Amino acid sequence: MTAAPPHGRLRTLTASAVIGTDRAGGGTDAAPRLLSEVALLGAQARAGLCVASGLQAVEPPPPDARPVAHDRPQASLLRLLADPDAGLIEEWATLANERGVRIADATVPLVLDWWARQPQRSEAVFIACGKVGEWLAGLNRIWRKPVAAADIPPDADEIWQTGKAAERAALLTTVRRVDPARALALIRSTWSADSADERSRFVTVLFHRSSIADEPFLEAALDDKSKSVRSVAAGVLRFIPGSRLRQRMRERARSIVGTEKKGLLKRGVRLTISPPQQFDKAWERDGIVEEAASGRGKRAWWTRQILESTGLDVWTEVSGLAPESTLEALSGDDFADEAIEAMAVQASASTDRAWCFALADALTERPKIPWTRYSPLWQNLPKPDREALALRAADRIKAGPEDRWQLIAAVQGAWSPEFSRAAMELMVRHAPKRTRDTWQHWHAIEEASRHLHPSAADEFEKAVASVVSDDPTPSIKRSIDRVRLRADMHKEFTS
Amino acid sequence: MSPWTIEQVNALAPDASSASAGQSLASVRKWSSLGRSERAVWGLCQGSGKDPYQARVDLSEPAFKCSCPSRKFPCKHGLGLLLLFAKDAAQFKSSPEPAWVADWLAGRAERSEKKLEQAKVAEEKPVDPEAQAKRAAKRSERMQEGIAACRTWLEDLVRQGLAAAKSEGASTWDRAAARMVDAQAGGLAGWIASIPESLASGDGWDLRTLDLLGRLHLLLSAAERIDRLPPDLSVTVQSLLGKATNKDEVLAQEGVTDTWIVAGQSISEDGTVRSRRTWLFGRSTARRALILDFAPGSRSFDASLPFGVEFDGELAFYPASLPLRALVKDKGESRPFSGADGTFSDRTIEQALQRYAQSLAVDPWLNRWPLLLGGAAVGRDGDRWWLLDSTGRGLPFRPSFTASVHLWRLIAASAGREVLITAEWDGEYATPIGLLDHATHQFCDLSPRWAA
Repeated sequence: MTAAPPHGRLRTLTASAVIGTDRAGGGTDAAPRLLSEVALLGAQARAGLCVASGLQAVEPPPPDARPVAHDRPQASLLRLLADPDAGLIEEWATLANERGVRIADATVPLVLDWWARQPQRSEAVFIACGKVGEWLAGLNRIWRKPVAAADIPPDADEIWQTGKAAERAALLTTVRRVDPARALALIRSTWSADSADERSRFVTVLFHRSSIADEPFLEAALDDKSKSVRSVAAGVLRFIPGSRLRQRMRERARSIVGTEKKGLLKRGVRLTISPPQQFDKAWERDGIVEEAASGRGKRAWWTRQILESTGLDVWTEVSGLAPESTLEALSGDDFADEAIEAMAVQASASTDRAWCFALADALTERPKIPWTRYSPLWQNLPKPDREALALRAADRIKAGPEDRWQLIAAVQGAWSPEFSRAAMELMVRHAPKRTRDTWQHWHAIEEASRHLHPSAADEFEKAVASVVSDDPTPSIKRSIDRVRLRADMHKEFTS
Repeated sequence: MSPWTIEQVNALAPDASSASAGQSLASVRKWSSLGRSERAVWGLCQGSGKDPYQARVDLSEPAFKCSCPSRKFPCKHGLGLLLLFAKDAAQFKSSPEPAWVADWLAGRAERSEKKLEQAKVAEEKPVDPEAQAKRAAKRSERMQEGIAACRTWLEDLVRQGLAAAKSEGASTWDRAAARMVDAQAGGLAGWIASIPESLASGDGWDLRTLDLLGRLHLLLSAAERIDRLPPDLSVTVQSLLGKATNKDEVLAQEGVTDTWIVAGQSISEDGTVRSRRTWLFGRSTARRALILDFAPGSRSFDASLPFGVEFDGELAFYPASLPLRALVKDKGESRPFSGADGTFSDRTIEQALQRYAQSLAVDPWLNRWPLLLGGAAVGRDGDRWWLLDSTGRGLPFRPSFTASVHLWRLIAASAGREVLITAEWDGEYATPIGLLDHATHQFCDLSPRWAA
């Protein structure tokens, strides 16, 4: 036997076996001899393994004063993870955080593993992972907590000047989010060298967090060589209060919007729209397009564009009334639909509560305008307003149950218990004579199943049963199951 | 109290969709006439049909029966019922078994008795010793031919070099394996089929593959002189060559009685059949036992030995030089793992490997050995992770384990705690499959599977 340790000899034999004993030169019985020796040395090596020593155990996590959630909610969480639904996991985490409990240690990795792969990572889920979550995220690179607003990289100027188009656009978006003025400065720094495509892409980024500080630059861009840059710049300017473009539009609007007295005593006021007779070439610079899409009147089209770019205060100024009454005074005009849609566009970008409420309400009353197109109006309102609005509109509209469900489902976020019950009872009250399944139902009922307060679970089932057939589609069944699951989840945390 | 935990019931689901369907049925409002007796639970569940489905579960195994038309087994009603029982046993009133439950249970008892009788009858059947000897001689002759062919093939492989073998296509190995099946040495086919995987196993593939070939060579040498081997070793070699042992013969022997701890399970998939290894440790005998079972297609595994319990019972071991594989001969009621007292676990890696070396000495082909390490921890050294004992010695984790979320579950459940870790050791890597934490009653099943 050789004096070398078995492992050393095994390495020599391995080298021969890799190239083949024929080539390694060992005669005809070299292969069987090698195999016999390997059989022996291999067993010796396995039996006499040299174990690594002096290793350090992973430091334990800092103690967490929050107790672990009870077994039943824990088991629910494991079930949710087997078939993950981001909304439900987030709701579980929120409940846990509210109750001051956390996820069990051995489950935390399963949660983080799922969480790290989500496009939108909920803060509540990470918090529910407790100190163990923070500790594990420190050990595992992939789980490091992503910063909500990514920082501007230190070499931002370098990237901006030498980067590829996509890199520059991504950088610009980040910078705009963190430091809007710096984003504008970046655009200006290379403006004369950038292509028309790039320029229009960059100006588009200015939609985000736009302010009067951007106005001089954008106003100048209205004279750009590229038509696309001009039209994007005009698009941004029409949402910047105090911009020169808005002032010009306002003057144009004043010549369109008028009043007349109404009623016997001429005490009431009626708003009238008088569309312009001629297209003014000066309008083009401000992004107004002369040619209308086929089937649409040119004068209505110009009116629409002008009103869309005008601040809402012009309306109250002319009418002398509050937003709700202003809309009422306008409602009988031939061009009321055009005007109200134009106002909705402006209101969507504003945060004026009275306007948003009045417009969202008015839209559900005008059968020709799909109110769902202006859902941002709803998002701008505080939740109690949204709930009041939905109940009011759903009770009033003449359309079918699909629309009623959609109105209710437009209330995003967790519903209050009162609203949940009232809305479901309203559905039962307005139940159609014959049930049917349509995709509008599926979607709205699914949305409702996510937002409903679990205390209204029974009402929900009754409401669903009143509109869909006895053998509901899988999507409806899932929605019903979801509400039950959520109701169980809430109960588990409180019991 | 339900003898089955929610996790255990979930593990019975044949697939993820059945599991989630079962979960949504685990709610009181889905059921009517919920009831329980000493040995069973039952309930009625309204499905899409006119009559409600009758779901019943025999709690001893558990075994399921439902009147629904589902082809899945167990179906969602059975799973939902047992889940509900695990979650909230108070909803089940103790009551006399209705006929549809009692009849089914009686039928089950009768069938299992019949099976026993049939086995007895088979035992008593006279055999023709002459014909039997003839068949055996014929079989042995063909096998010896197969062994000789395999030896030539193996030596050619080493003569031409492992580097050359690496570029061989799948058909080369399939053909060689098929020849062994024809020669009635199916066990050798399995060895051959595992070679390409070893050749492609990355870092250290050469040493790993050569070691595998060395063991195969040793097996062939042993097979050639099988008549002269000690009886136990001869049985081991025969079973490695593919000879099946009759279950009833195993069960007929006297078994080992002890308190058996179900300390780890691991599942591997081979085509359409999944196989599961359940490792048991005898509390006072310190014996290790391996229970193998299989689940074809979407069926779930037998659930009578869930991870994290212990039971008093008798195991019958398959005859071998190192008796490891076993069958449950007699089983008392399962109860949760009651603590690390006893000599069944090791405190240091040195002790654990000592046991392994002793086992290798009687079975040099041993390829998976169960480690059960008390006071275990996870250690890190750069990108490499280790199973540590309290003296700072460590065994490397299998790379696929290190890359999985289970590494992190193991870290989260073990750091700063006094825990027992069960791992499968193959001489090179440790693959943790279970963690037992008696203090917090946390039993962490680390076997890779769809649910976790």
